[in-house]
Amino acid sequence: MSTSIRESAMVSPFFVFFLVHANIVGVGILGFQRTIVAHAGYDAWISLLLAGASIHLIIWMLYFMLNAGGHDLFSLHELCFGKWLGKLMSFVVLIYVWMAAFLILRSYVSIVKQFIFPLMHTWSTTLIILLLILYIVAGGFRTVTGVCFFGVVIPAILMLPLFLFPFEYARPNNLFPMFSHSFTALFASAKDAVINYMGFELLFFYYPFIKRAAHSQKWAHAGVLFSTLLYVAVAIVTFLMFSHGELDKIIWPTLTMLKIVEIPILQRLEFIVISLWLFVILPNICLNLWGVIRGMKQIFGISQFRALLLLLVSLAMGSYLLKGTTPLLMALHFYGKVSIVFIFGYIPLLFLLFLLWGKKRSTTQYQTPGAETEKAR
Amino acid sequence: MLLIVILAGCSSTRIVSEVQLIHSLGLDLEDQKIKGAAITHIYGKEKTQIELLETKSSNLFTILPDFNAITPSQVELGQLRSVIVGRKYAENGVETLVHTLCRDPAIGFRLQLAVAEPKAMTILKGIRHMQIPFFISDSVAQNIKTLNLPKTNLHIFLFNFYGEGRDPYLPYFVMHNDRVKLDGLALFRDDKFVHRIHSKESFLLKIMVEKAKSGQIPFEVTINNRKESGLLKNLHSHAAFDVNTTEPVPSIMVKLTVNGQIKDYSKWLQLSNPQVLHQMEKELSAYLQKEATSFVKHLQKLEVDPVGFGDLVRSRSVSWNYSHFKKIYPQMKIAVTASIKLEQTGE
Repeated sequence: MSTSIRESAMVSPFFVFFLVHANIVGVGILGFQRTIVAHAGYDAWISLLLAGASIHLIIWMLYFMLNAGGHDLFSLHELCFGKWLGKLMSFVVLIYVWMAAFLILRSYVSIVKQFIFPLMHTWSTTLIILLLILYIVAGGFRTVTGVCFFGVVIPAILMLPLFLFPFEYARPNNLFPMFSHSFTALFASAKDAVINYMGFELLFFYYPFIKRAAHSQKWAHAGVLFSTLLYVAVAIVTFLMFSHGELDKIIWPTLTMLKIVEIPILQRLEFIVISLWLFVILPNICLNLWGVIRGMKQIFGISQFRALLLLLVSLAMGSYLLKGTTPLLMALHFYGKVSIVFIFGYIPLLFLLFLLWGKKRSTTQYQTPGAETEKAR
Repeated sequence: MLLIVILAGCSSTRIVSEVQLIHSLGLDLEDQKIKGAAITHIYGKEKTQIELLETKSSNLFTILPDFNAITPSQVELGQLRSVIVGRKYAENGVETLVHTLCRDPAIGFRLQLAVAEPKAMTILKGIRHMQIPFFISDSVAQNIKTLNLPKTNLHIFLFNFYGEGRDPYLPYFVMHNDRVKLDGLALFRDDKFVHRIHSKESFLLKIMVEKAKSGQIPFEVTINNRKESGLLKNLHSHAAFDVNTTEPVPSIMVKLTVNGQIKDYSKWLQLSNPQVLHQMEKELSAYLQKEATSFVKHLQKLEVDPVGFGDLVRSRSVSWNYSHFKKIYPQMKIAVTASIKLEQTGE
């Protein structure tokens, strides 16, 4: 199934850090605090660590499978399920990945509407972003990686004011009493937090595009670790600033925290931050879409550019059909449930199947991609 | 690219000289109707004029459209610095108002809220008379920096209001000989105004809720059988709380440390003499302790908790039930000790 990929289309292992981290951090970080405190209160930062740790385990599984002979998700599926069932499973996963891209786009547009242009039409912003996506994704995987790189650097700069200004109002008392929640509560909260780690699973798609892929595992782990620490830091700053009752009233705590910032020439910093946040969500959408068009080529053999146009039209249609905030929140909720099933149900299941019979087949069918590139060098 | 340029052109533009920026909003309750008033600027060619808009409506959400109806240009809240409510409005509860404010993306958290006596309208008329557009927000900032007002703004109000185990407070404006004056604090229970305190108690609250670097309190002490009165200025203060939650009714020890100076005092008092200085510090500490203790008792009697004793108990107990705390709050033992160190006595 897998076609060998040109060296010139590949990226260095070190870029996996950016690919993983940029795709984990997206719209979620603007408002994840409210969902995670529902069960674990202000101990929720522990849940974030738990969720992060579980993602490390899943990453390890991914690399185990991919290193041991599956080039990517499609060949893994073929190994474990056979040709036709494998294609079907791949298609289901593609729908899931497309859904993620769509929801990120739609959430971002809704934030822009809510904060900046209440009277703006959804379609106009969506259209501009879609054109940008077209330009990036048509540039191929290396362009998408470049965007991921910017998607890490820019938010790092944007997050700085968040850690400087609110400290004037920090109340350490908010964090106490610490460890007052049961393990069950912490786990329930960790389950809610997992959706914010979505995005790493695209490793399944771009693994063959990494040079000396087996060596990139440490970078993937570093990306997850960095994201976890960022989440914990943002959560703790939020908890220090807002009382629990106040947090329940706020939809986007991270943005609301910026309301305390007032700079002489800028009345509202949120406007700038939201505008620049486009750079944070772009890699998310682009990499997801890139994964989908790669998948469509693998499954149906459609040319990637045509698939891309088709997807952009589908995103525009979806944005047009999904009106209002309530259905969006419902869709996000649904996606959260699906992602839990995918990450903690489907990937471990695949891992088991692979251990049972996939591994044997793979050694007869393929060489490991790592060895392949070693030879090529 | 062309498309992006074209689309950017049709976003909603709002040019400063073509909209009316509201600087202060005032709200009053009059026979079940809400009266709104707003201080705005009219940018003239020669000089800028302050204008006062007035409207009346049956609910809060139609106030702004009503302002739009009486002005030729669109009213914008992007520059809103302060919202002042009349005493009666505050007694009726401000939850709807603050919730609306905190959800409006155009409004920052440094917005100042205040309570007016007797009416917001009276105060805003006074401000129009003085022609100082940012009077409320500026005088609040100045009072926080140099006088007895604890730090306050929309964020702090929301924090105290929505946080369990705390009650909010707001600066209190009155009219004084045709001038607007900030005088004391309005204390709230939940979202309703219940009591007003004056400058002295304001100082006591300030040194309990923050590390204050300003504030002053008049005192009367007896040294060597002679009465002495003066003004104690706080240079920097610190409050430490010791919470005991082992018993069914928790108790709290408050330790106030104030580094201050006495600006003016009688000639006979030899403060340069270390012995006298030490005696003065002891007397002052006793005085502050007495005042703070009776202030806390008063708060307990009123069942308001602006200091956030409840929050302290919450942060140090495994199980926390706010409604239960409210019941036991008046019976709690809250002891205050104060120690004052005098510096730079101006000799």
